[in-house]
Amino acid sequence: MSTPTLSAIWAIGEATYRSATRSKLNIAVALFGLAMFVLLKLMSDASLNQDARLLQDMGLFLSSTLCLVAMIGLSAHSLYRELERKSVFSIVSKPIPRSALIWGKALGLAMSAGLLTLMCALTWSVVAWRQGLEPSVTMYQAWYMIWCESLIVMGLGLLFGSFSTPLVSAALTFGLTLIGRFNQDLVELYERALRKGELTGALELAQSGLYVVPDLSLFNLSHAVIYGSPLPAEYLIRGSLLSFGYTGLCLLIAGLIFKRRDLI
Amino acid sequence: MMPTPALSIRELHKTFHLGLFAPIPWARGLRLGALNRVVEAVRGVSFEVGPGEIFGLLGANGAGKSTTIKSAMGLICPSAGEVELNGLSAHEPAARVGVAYLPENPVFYDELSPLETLELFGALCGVPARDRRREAREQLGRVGMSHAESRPLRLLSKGMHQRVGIAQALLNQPKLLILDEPLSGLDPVGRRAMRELLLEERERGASVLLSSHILPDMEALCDRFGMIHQGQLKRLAEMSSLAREVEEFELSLAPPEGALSSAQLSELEALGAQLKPRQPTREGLVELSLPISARAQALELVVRHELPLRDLRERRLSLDDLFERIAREERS
Repeated sequence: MSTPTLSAIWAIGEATYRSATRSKLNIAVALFGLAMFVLLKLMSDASLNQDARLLQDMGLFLSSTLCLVAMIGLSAHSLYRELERKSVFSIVSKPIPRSALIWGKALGLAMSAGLLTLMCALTWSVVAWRQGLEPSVTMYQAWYMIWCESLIVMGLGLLFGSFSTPLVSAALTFGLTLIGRFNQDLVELYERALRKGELTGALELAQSGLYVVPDLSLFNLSHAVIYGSPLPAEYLIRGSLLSFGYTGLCLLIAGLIFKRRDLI
Repeated sequence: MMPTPALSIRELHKTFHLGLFAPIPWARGLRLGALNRVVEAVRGVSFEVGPGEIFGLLGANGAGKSTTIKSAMGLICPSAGEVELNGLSAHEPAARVGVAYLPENPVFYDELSPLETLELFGALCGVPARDRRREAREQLGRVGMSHAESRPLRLLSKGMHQRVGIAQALLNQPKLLILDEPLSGLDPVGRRAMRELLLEERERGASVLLSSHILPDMEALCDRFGMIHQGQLKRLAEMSSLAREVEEFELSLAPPEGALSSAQLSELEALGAQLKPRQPTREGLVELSLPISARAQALELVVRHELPLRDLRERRLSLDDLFERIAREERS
């Protein structure tokens, strides 16, 4: 990629990030904060000597769910919104390749996801500090993996968004994310059904999804956090490589599809 | 050696396939009514915009102006024909260096301010990072938007969006400006300022292609024009000739027999006269419209045949009238 193209990608990324943080993401973060504090209140009422475990588990679950929902919504809607409002015309008519828009959007959304994850981590840390809980390094590693997972989801959202409507794109992204998250369970279920000769159409469809989406359960570190298991550096590197590589591939295909589209 | 035209469009065709089966190439030929519609938006359009020229693309809504312009900007892939910007294929990003585009009703990111928007576009058209803010402020000043440079775009009016759109098109001193309905949404003061701005750009040596369906704007600005109707280029001429086409005069005659003789009528028709519908009128008048260039001969004919003249008035055709005339000429 040439320097002007990189500069264009950065500029589009910055604009996407600013737009996202000034609108939808703020609301999402506020909702998360509210949910955390409501949870804190409920927890102190309901739990019995399980505060720390519940706080960690629920904190990661909420962070992960929030990031995934935000990324599915933002990425699936992102390109379509540009096309629908026709703001794309002024951008792709500049001397840049069309794929720069996709990469720029991805950069902006990745930064937004990063901010969202950071906000979640900070909010959780404040709640934990009020509860007298000391956060572990694994907990922060878990948030990093949540960010890596949200990059994959963003890549899928942008890929589907490059040729379909937000609803279809969000549905496909959500479906593949579910398949990715329950990857191990699906493999087990499929093998068991295969042994028993009870394969259903739905199971076969889910099985075919396993070929296109990586095992997202790799990015769920809640067990490691709760049981205090040490996390080797190779694990984080593997997760990062998988996330960046898969997202890059999605963006590459999205760019090729988008290049051929008539922008009416 | 002839200078390379800033924009060259040759035999441009664009057909849109709409409906459920549109994305499937092999199914496009199937006759499935509304499920498989074909729209020929542009049919064989050819013209060039020379260096330092303001070229106007005239046409009613839906005539094919925007499709032609989008093909020129590489936003739409032509079904056939060639489009070149500064001698390079319009689909190459390199061809768009020094080319500015203002879409019809431009829309930008609502959450950004005009200054941030222009900085973004500065980065996209290669303005060095250190000059972006200065250049953005300069262009916002030119379109009278300095006072609102930090307000989010969602709070600005349609006319202000249009001004921001014009400012982004002027960034980095473009050699060719392609503007789709640039004067729409502007108030009279804004329209005048915009016209002056475009003339300044021409003075600087830039070429301009602009589309509009408003005749007076085009007459005030353009050196040449192309008139597009139902996807086809119907006229390609100097702007001065448009004035002759759109100005006509109307005669109301009261012939003693209640109608003109066939000899009188054929003489008038030879001058380009058109009988108005429902002749004679309730008052027993025969009304005709003639090109302004035939005024002297027509009056001489009226005097020679001693035809009582009841009224004579000049009139400017609207674009719709002009297209109606073109369609009539085609039929005849």
